[in-house]
Amino acid sequence: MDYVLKTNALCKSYRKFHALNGVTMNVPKGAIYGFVGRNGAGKTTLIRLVCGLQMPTSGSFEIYGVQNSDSKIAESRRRMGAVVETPSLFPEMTAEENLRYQYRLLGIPNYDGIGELLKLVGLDTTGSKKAKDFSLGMRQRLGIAIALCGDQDFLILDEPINGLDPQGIIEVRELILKLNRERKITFIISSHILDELSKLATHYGFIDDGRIVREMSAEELENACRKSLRVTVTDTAALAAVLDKRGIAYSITDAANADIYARPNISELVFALADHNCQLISCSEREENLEGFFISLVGGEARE
Amino acid sequence: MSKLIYADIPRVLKSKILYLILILTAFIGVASVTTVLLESEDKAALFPVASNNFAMFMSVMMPVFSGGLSIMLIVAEFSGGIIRNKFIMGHSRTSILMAWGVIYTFFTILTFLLYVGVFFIALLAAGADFTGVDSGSVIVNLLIVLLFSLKFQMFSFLMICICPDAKTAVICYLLNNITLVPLMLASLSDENSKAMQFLSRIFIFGYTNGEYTLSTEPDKPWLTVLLIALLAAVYMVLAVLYFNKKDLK
Repeated sequence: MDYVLKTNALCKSYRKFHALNGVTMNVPKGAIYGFVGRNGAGKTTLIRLVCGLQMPTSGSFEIYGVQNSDSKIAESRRRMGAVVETPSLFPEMTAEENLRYQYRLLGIPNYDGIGELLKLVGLDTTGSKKAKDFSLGMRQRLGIAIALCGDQDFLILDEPINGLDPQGIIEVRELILKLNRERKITFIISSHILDELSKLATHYGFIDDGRIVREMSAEELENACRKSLRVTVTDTAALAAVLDKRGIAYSITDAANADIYARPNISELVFALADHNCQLISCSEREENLEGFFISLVGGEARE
Repeated sequence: MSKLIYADIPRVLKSKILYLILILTAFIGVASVTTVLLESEDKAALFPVASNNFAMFMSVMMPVFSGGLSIMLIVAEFSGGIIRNKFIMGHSRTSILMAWGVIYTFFTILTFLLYVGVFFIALLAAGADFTGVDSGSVIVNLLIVLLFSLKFQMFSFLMICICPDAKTAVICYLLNNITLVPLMLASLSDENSKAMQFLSRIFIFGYTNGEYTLSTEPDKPWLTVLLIALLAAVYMVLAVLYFNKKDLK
């Protein structure tokens, strides 16, 4: 699998505070990578390191296979765009003027692509309206347009829907999906609005206390979150044999527990298990959403 | 670096602050001469007395104008987050700083030339008597005063790197004026002391102190130029070193 971004034991400390503690993550090409973590978990710090705004204390990362210590990293960075926290724009300028500035920074000789870019993000009718008069959603879309100026194929969006109204959220979501499908742009989207993220992401990375606690695909997450019957038995091997024989999907979670992704007849199951000298100790229905999964992964206790 | 300069120059040219500064500079250039005319009609005394106003502009207003323009526009890059895009596009920190150096040095020189141009045109229009004025000394004095402005520009870059905030402009200006204090203390002991002479070479308040006129032959101008240039270079190197290590948000 091709990876756009790979980090290897990336650490960042501010005096005695360790913002990142050996983050290792892999962002596949073409993915919408949901970067999930609570406030202060290290999401924005990691993004700042990747964008070159800050230097790692230790560890490394590579963008399109180029190590951060390599002098060619600047060329790799030119393939990426980012909206870190707030869109990077001049509020006194119009959408077009902001894009022109960006084009000049990139050394693009003509402004031919600006009209198409404005149309892509739905800001082609803003005319002489200054960015400071835009709604939050419009600014966010302009931020994305600015990040796309050099035909980038990798975008990092840090909390792109924070503070947006429902209409703004839908606009940004549709834009991200469109760019991913039509232009094959890889995204990293950091967010703690998990419900919204679950409508976009194809891959997830869960970060807590400066560490990646789990990376998984949306498919894996769906399996982990789908409705199931959690059973506790004396012998999971016997349970597996019984379920295999009946063609029922399941996953063994530990030595005594398993999740069954069906609604089997409990009486029949108990008798079948008894034939294998196995007892069913308890069973309960469970269904998790992304939020529940995240909480179960990182723990729900309040932290400073 | 050329891309950075190419991107930022149109932005500065579109800035209202620039035009406000240029208008005020031209106005003060005229006022520097007309205020002298209101007090005396002695055409021979016009140039030497107006030189005091020139010195006042260069030491008090020029730092506000040149430092103000660069600080306001650069701080806007930090507050608007544009600086992040520059990094992501692969521009090095040194080249970003150098590009600012080139752009705002250019506009400092432009402001200086405008003031000097208006000042001398107003003097000519007022019929100032330039008899006996050593043009060579005038040119050397003008260049030294310009160098003082550029040194202040480098100082403001260092301050921006340390604290990219709107308050930086005020801090810079206050620090510039605080240089008066050691000069006053040094002059209390002996106006011709070595310390006073040394301070006069690196602080514009000292250089233009007392009976300053543009036509006075400067003492060891090469030493003054060397010291100012050295100090400006030190400010710039410190700015580069600090900026390269600074964590940005």
